[in-house]
Amino acid sequence: MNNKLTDEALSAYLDGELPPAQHKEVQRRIEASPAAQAQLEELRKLSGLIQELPRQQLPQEFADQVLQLAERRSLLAEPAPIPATHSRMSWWRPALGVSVAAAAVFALTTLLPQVKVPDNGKELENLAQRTEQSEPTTSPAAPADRAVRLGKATGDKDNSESFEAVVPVKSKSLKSDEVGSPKVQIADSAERRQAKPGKDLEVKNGTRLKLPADQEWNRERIGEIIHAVTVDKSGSRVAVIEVAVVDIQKWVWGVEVLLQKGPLKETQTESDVVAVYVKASEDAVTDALAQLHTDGVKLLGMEMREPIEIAELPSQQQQQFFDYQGIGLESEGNGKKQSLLTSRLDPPTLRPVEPEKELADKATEAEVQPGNSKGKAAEPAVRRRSSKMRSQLARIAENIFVPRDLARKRSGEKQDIAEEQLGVVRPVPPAEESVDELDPKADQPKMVRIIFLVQRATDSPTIPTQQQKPTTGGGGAA
Amino acid sequence: MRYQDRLYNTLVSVVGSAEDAHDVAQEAFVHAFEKLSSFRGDSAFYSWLFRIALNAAVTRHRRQRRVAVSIDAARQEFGHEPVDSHPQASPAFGIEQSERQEAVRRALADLPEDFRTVLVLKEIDGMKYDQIAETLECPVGTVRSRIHRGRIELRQKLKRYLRDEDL
Repeated sequence: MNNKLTDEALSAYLDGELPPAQHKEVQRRIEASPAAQAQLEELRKLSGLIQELPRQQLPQEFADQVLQLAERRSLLAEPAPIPATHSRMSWWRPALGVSVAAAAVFALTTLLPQVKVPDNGKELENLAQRTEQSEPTTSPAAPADRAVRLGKATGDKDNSESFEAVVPVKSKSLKSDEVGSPKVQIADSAERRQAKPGKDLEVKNGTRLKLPADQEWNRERIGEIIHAVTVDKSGSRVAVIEVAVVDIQKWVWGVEVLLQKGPLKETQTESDVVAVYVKASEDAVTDALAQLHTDGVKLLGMEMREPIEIAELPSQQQQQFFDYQGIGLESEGNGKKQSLLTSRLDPPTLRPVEPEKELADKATEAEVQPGNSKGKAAEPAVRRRSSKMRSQLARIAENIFVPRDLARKRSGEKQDIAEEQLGVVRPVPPAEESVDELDPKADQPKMVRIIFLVQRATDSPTIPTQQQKPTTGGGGAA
Repeated sequence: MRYQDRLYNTLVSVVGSAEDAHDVAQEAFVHAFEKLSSFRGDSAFYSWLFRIALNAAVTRHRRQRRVAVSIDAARQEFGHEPVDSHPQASPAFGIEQSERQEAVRRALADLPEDFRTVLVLKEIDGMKYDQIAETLECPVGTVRSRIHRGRIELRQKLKRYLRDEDL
């Protein structure tokens, strides 16, 4: 046994990691060698020095922080890039990944039954229990079974209150280390608001989407991100949105905050984090944010995205978009809306994205000179459509699927959020046959689509019961 | 959460700062939630979790380009200046326990990452060699060698700070 081996063996001997035979051999050598004894003692002291380092504990809120972060990520997860051409099924793969991530929270809770319960009672097992308890109780059916059943009964009234889609439109999402940023947004918005005194606040209804009836929906799909587009009332603007599948039972509270701007209402859910989609004016958003902060709610983050004008889509995409209009139109006869979401559509093939600058130039040019020849030459097919067709599109005001590529079309924009994102709707050049109908100078409130993630403060005051129920709205939490 | 303090204490010594350890632990648990489906159960959950944490620490380190405890971090954590590494600045005697612990932390932070990680897992986390090998996905012989070499190097560094009777 050379010195090096002896040294290493001494170290392993100290740790009790030698095989029995070698252990005895090293022990015999140590007993016979004062130098080896001194060396062993030195190693023992060294080991003691490391072991005496003080132990520290994480703060009690650590578990909560982890859960909140995991929930946020499951809701706000950025989708992975997808090639421009892919099969219809491939649309769903990233979304399913999100679903798995959300489901993992449930799985871990059952996998770690020994989880310590912090004093404030927030830990994984309770999360799972809360989630299960918040399952709609109007039906005795198992959650998954009920979800499937309701998903198939698209026109059923109960369906509209069970699983819900909300529309966080992605662009410059605030990252986890930018949680404080919304405060900056609020301040900025407040300044802009002061610059426009007298402008009425307006909060329009949140959008409630029904899920496709031809798919299986269950709790595991909560948190899943799917894509859709919405058409504004003018019929010339389309917002490509990402839709998170949520449990309506967990969203009512947050929606009430934004839509009613009144005191918070206690709901049956004990969810700490809710996400809220709202389609609102800039001022309304400012007001809603201020409301959130004054009602004992902590804003965790928000994200916004500009709508995309149909005119900016490639012509083929525009054509397909219009071709979709006959699919899933509202059934107004019985007063119930039919689902306009369907996965039966083949994904439109997108051509390479037109340079943003060129698009912007076209828009600006047409806006300044809506009737000149250059503006007409650059006019996409959509603007040559009849006003009747636009009216049909406006009637839809619902959702159809589009490929994720479309949603990414403008994701690379590097515009200041305060200046650009809050003023999300670009002026749309009016169609030549309906200038009056689509007056770009109309003083319409700027609309944004936002997902708020809010959390009740732990020391929030007692929340009074709300006087009035919101009539519409959508929201949820995974 | 189970393992949170164990993981955290190990990470404090591995990454060299309480703040970084907190963030890395948080990232590790969140990532564990997200990737739970990939946990095959053929290794101990803590080993799997620690590997995630180690990857998170490496990622963080690449971003920050630092591992060792900075003077500011040491001042923030321990409330006083870290021990000067210059031999002539070493106090001849009378080192208090807190200062000795500070010196050990400093010496640990100065160790090569491979040595530091195995030593911390052994001495602070209390893992056996085979557990460390499983966690780091390396042979037991490698663990044994690294622990030995880490101890030798740590002792040399500490001799600059501590009295002989402390070693």
